[in-house]
Amino acid sequence: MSKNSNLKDDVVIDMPSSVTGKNHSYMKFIVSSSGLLKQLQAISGVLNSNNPLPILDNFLFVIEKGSLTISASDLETTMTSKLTVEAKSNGKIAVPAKILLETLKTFPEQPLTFSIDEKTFGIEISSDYGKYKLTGFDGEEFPKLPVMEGTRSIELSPDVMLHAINKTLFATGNDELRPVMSGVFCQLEKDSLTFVATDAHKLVRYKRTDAKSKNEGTFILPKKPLTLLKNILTGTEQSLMINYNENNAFFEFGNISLICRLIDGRYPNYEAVIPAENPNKLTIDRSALLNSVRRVSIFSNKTTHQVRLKINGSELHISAEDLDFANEANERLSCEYSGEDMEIGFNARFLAEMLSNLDSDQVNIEMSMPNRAGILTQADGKNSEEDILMLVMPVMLNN
Amino acid sequence: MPLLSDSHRTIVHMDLDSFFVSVSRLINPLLNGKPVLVGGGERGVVAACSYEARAFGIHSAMPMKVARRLCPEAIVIRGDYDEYSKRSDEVMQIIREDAPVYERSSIDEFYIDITGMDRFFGCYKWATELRHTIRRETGLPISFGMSQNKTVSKIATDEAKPDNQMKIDFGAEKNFLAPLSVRKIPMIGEKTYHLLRNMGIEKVFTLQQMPPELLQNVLGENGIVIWKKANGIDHSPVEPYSERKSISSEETFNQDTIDVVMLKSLMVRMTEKLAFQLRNDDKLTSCVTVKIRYSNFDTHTMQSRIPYTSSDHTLITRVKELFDKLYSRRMLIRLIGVKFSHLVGGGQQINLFEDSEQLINLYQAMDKMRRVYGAHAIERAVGGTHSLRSFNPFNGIATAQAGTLPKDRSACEYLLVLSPPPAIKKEVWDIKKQFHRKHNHIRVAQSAPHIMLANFWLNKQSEEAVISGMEEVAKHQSPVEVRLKNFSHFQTHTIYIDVENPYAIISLVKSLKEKLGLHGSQSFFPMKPHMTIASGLREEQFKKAIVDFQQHEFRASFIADNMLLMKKETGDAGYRIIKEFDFCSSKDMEPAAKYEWNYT
Repeated sequence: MSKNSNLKDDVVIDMPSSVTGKNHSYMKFIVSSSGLLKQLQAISGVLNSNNPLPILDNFLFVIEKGSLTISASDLETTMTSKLTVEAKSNGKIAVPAKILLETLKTFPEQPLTFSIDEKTFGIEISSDYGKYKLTGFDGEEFPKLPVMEGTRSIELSPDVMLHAINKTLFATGNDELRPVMSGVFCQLEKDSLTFVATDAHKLVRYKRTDAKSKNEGTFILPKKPLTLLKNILTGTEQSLMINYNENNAFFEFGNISLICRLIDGRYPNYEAVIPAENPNKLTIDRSALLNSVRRVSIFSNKTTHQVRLKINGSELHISAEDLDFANEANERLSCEYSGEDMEIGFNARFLAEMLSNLDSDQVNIEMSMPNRAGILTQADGKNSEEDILMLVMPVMLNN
Repeated sequence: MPLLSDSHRTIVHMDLDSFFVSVSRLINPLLNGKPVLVGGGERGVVAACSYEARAFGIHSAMPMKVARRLCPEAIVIRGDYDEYSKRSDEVMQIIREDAPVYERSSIDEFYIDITGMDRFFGCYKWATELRHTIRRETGLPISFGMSQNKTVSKIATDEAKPDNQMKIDFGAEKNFLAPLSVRKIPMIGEKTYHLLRNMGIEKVFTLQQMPPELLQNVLGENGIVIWKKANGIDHSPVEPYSERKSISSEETFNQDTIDVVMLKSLMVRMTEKLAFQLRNDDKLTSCVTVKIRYSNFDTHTMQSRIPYTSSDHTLITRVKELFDKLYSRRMLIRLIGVKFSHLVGGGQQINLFEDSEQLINLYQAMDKMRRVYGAHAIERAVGGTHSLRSFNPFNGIATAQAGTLPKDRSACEYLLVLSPPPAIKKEVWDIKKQFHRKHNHIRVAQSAPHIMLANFWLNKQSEEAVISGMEEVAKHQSPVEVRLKNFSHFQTHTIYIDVENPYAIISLVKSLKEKLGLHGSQSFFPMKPHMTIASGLREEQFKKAIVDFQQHEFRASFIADNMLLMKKETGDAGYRIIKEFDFCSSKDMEPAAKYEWNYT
């Protein structure tokens, strides 16, 4: 610590002697602290808190020709980021992620020098304030990226992908017995792209006709990489490249890439369960309905969140009750309605999620029977290239 | 709750003495006066023990292994938690009738706030009377302690036990606690006790004398609470108890049974009825419990959490699964029960892929009929005709009822057979016809040639369960080679073709007999495989006929790769085939299993 002032000289003097002395190689690079932190944070979402393999608690640093490639992986998903550094030699090392992130967060912007002994995996970081030593692991132990063969590719605007993720992700399921439903089904066609998510109680179908694919194909993306993509795609305009084959999908975007394993299995035939004949049509102000549903559901049962919708002429009556606490709420809203008077029950959380994920001012709700699906669509779509359908299954009411 | 500065509260703590043991003794008086341990399994702990067992140094929460070493002659019983909670409910009912405010702090402990009751009765007199009422009406020994707060009352109860009572007057709390071991204070467990002992603190008196700050230094925030408790200070209120609801149904049989088919169909009926009750009350359940009591009163329960539901098919499947897991001993069963708990208000969330519209409409139509014509208006056929006694679904208490299958007029005759291929069939038919022409015996021509596996009478409603049992057997049965050789006879009434290699068929018949669990009086499983030519012969007919057959030789063999179930309804002349059960071909079975092994 006392040698703060002549820190750089120290390193420079050290290096050549050890490299040439024995077959003992050193790796050294200088990088901006905030630049490194930014890249690490972009990919650190992959890290799990409890990993089956200890090596996965590390970032993999690979230096090649003055460029640093950092990877984080949980075996299913691997994210990689690239940045340029000042470096003289090539090499790789696994750096403990938690300690590195915590340290970097405390630094104001400044150059950091990393010197790594590739034999002992000792890592020394030098900052303006002092030196920090920690032990890494052999970079060769880090899981290798799958080799992708027979890939097909598609180029997308990040905006389309971001919208597709935002509109569908909330509708995915959590049932371990039905893994296909825990992901988003992507259907690439010559004239459109369709994204579908369902947990068997609700379903979202998001279709874009302004994005097309030369090759037709379908795959199911798991939830975690989609969440990660959502975070890094927000607020950018660089285009997104997707390569995919039977088992994996590879997303490339700026200096960041993400490769993930696809969910294996057959997606349920969702088109077959979307009812075509829905004679009862209701049109209503979206935010007014959303606010009512949220308010009324406070008085519903805390487990089932059950609310009752009663439509008489042009009046929608929303009510909920919790018998255990003698809670009750009733609201009335005016709406446009064509069809027979009806009464139908829904889980308020599902309704609220769907309404808040639609963008239009007015929303259409189409129904047929109290024990059949209700279908929500945007009444005044701002984007005519976008077709979004949300379906929610009712709860059986006891009359 | 009044907390006036010039008055003090009166809190009673009631505790049922070695509750689990007392309940078990009520059910089985043979346990009286003996060391009894309640707890489960090899690796379990003692949940409760009788005072006789405590004399050996056994206490609750001790590993069962240690307890058994201390007292090898102790009787160990599995806890019947449903029974315990039922008895505890009874005690609570009595308390509820008299007490203004009460709290059930555990299954065998109650706090009652009777502040102000002394204006009308003496508080101590009131509590004494309540204790005697509970003793008299439930037969369970109970103790109480009375003082101005919960902590002191609880400690007083502990001092009063067994089967006694104690009152600590206002102002006497500190003196009462002072000579006791610090261990008696409810918050002090094993760890804290050792810590305090290491500091040289043994009696509550020492704690009382210590500055509270010192205890806070050692024990943290809890130190202050412990110090207050040691000084008899506790302001915590008696919190009225609210019950988590459940609905259940139980059946005790007059005669213990192992008739699995009947048990299952009975459970289907119970489940169906409870599920209707759920829907009718707008409730959903997320916890299913199945209970079995064996003939020796061993009671086992098993429960499983499920997503909230009130639909029959989900619940029935789950109940059957639990029963299969639970019924592990081939022992007579005395009682079965089904319980749904963790109830919440609401309707069934319809599933997009699993619930077809027809099914939902069916349920709604069935429920509508039940509401109009009563709960039994419509039921699953597999539920059979066992009449469920009427019970209160919210506590499941009811009277006993026979669980044996009634002989019903609507019963049909069934025949399960191995059928030979057409060529052999024709050959045997020809022999039969010839016999018929020659000896003019009518019964020869009545049925097609077959090897009988089982013959039984069954109520139509139980058919489904029996068929699924047969499917199960067929699934694990590889095709049987049958070699027919020459003729033989049973006494003088039946002439048949003998089977040269009977053992495969015998083992099939045995597994059928075991699996189907049919009543002995209404079923027949032949242990000598044969193909009948003529039966019901008179002696003179037999003597004439047998001569022909003894001179004849007959040989044929075939592979039977399925079995046929045939049925004859009352009034029908002959059998008709209602179901074919294919045996699994050995090729499908063996390699698949091997592959699995290699793979792992």
